[in-house]
Amino acid sequence: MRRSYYIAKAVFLESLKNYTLVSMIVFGVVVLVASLFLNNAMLGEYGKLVVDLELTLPILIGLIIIIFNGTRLVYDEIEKKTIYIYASKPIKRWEFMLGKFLGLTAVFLVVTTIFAILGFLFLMLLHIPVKGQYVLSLFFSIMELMILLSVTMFFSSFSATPILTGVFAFVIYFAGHLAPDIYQYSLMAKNQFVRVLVRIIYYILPNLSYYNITKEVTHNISISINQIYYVISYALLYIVLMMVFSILIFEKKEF
Amino acid sequence: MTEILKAEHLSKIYKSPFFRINHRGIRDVSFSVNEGEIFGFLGPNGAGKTTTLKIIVGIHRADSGRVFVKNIPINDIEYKKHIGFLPENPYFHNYLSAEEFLSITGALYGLNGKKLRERIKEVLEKVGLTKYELRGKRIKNFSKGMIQRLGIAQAIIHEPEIVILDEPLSGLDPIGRKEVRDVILDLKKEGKTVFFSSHILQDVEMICDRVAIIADGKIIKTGILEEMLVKKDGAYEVKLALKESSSFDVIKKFGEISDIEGNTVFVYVDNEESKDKLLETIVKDGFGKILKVNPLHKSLEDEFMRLFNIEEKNEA
Repeated sequence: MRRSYYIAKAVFLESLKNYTLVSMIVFGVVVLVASLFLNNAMLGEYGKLVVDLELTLPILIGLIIIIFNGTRLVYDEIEKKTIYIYASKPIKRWEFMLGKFLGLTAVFLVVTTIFAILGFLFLMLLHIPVKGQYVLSLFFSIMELMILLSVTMFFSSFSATPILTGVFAFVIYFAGHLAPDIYQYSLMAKNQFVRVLVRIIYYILPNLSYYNITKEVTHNISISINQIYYVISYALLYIVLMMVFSILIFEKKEF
Repeated sequence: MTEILKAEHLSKIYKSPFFRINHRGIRDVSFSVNEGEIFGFLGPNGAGKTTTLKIIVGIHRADSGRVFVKNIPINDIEYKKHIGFLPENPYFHNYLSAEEFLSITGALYGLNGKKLRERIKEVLEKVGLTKYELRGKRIKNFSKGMIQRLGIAQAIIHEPEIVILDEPLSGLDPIGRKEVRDVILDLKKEGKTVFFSSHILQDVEMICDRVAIIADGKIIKTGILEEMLVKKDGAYEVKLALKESSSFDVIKKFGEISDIEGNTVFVYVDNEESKDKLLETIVKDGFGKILKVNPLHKSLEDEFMRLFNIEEKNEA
C-alpha cells in the first residue's frame, strides 16, 4: 500500500508540473469571473446560476482531466516504456494500478477543494447563503469522478489507443447520467429480449445520476442520511469492481 | 566464484492473440553470472537478448524455466531488491526533476528521509550528473547522455548486488560512451556484479569478464572472454630481419608474407608446427634475426561471426 502512495505521488507531481492542474484551475476561475457579467441579465436567478456553475465546474474540469490524462495514465507508461522501470522494482502490479488511480484522485481532490474555497468566497461576496448540501454535492462530484476514472482505467487496460478509451469514458459519462431513463425504457419496452437487454445495460452502467444533486442544492431539498450511505456504498463497490477487473487484465499483460 | 544470478532452461514463445501465430522468443536459455564480474550478454538484433532480460528482471514471465538471484526465486518480491535495471532507451517522467524521480524510485525500495536524500546525492555524484546544473531542471530537458546516467542512478539507488543494463551505451557519442563505460567499471570496482547486454562487440570486449552469446533464441557459447579470444586457431605473426631477399622463397614454405618493410618481413603462420620449423630454419641456416613472435588473437567479432555462421549452417 505504501508503494501505491509513491506511484500516486509521481502522478500527482507530474499533473502539477505539466500545468494540467494549474491550467484547469485558471480556466475555472475565468468562467466564474465571467459569470459576474451575467448578474444583471439573470433577473433574480443569478444566485442559482452561480451555485449551479460552481457545482458543475469541478465535474467539467475533472472530466477534461480524465479525457486528457486519465486515458493516458496506463497507456503512456506502456507506450513510453516507463513501466519497465517500475516492473523491475519491488512493486506489485495491483499496487501500481492503485497508485495511478489514487494519484489522479488526489488531483480531483485538489481541484474540488480549490473550487469549494473559491465558491464559498464568491457566494459570500454576493451575499448568497451557503447550504450544507453544497459541500455534499462537491463530495459527490469527487465520487462521480472516481467512478469515471475507474471505468477509464478499466477501458485503458485493454483498449488499443487513448482516443478509444476517451470515447468510451465520454459515452459512459453521458449514459451514466441517463441511467434513470434507461431504467424507465426497460419497464416500457414491449419486446421481452429488449427489456432484458436494456435492464442488463442499466445494471452494468454506473448510475451517475445519483451524484448529481444540483437540484437539491439550489432548491434546498434535504437529502436523507440513508441516501448518502447508499450513494457512497454504490460508488465504493463500483470502483472496487472496476479496479479489480482492470488489475486482473493488467496482471496478464506483457509489455 | 559464487554464482549470484542463475537462469535455468528459460523458454518463451510469443503468441499472437488473434491468429495463434507463435513468434520466436527464447529456447532453453541457461547461464549463470558470478559475483563481482561484468557479464556480457551478446547477440544480434532479434536474437532474444531483451526477451531474456525482461524475464530476469520480472517484466515478462517465462513459459518455462527458473531464475534465481542469490538463490531467491524470481516470484519472490525480495528478488527485485537485489537487482537494479536500466532498460534500453530509458524514458522517465518528463516533468519531474532528477531528484524527484530518484526520490520516488528510492522510496519504492523503502528508502526515506535523510537516508534517501543522502543516497540521491551519492548516486548523482557517482553517475556524474552533479557536473550539470540540475536544480529544477526537468527530465524532458536532459540530453541522451544525462538520461542514460539517470537510468543508471535509479538502477543503483538501493545499492543492489547486481546491476542489469540493457544496451547502456547505445545512442551515446564517443565521450558519453567512455563516461558511461567508466561508471560501469567503477561499479565493478565497488564489488557490484554487472550484467551487460549489448550488440556492440567492441564495448563488450572492452569491459566484460565473461560473455554469453545468444543467437536465434539459444545460447550458443558461454565463456571467459580472454579464453575465447586466444590464438586464432594457433596462428602467429613472425617478424624477421632478413639478410637477403632470396630467402623469401624458403620462408614461403612455412607461411605467408603479409608485409615487407625494407629488410623486415612479417610472416603469417597458421599453425604452431610451421612456426617452430620457420624459426629453426631462420636460426640454423642463418637467414637473419627473429625480431618478434606474436600469437594472433581473435577479436570478439571474429569469434562471434564464427559461432554465428556455425549456428546458421546448423539451422539450415
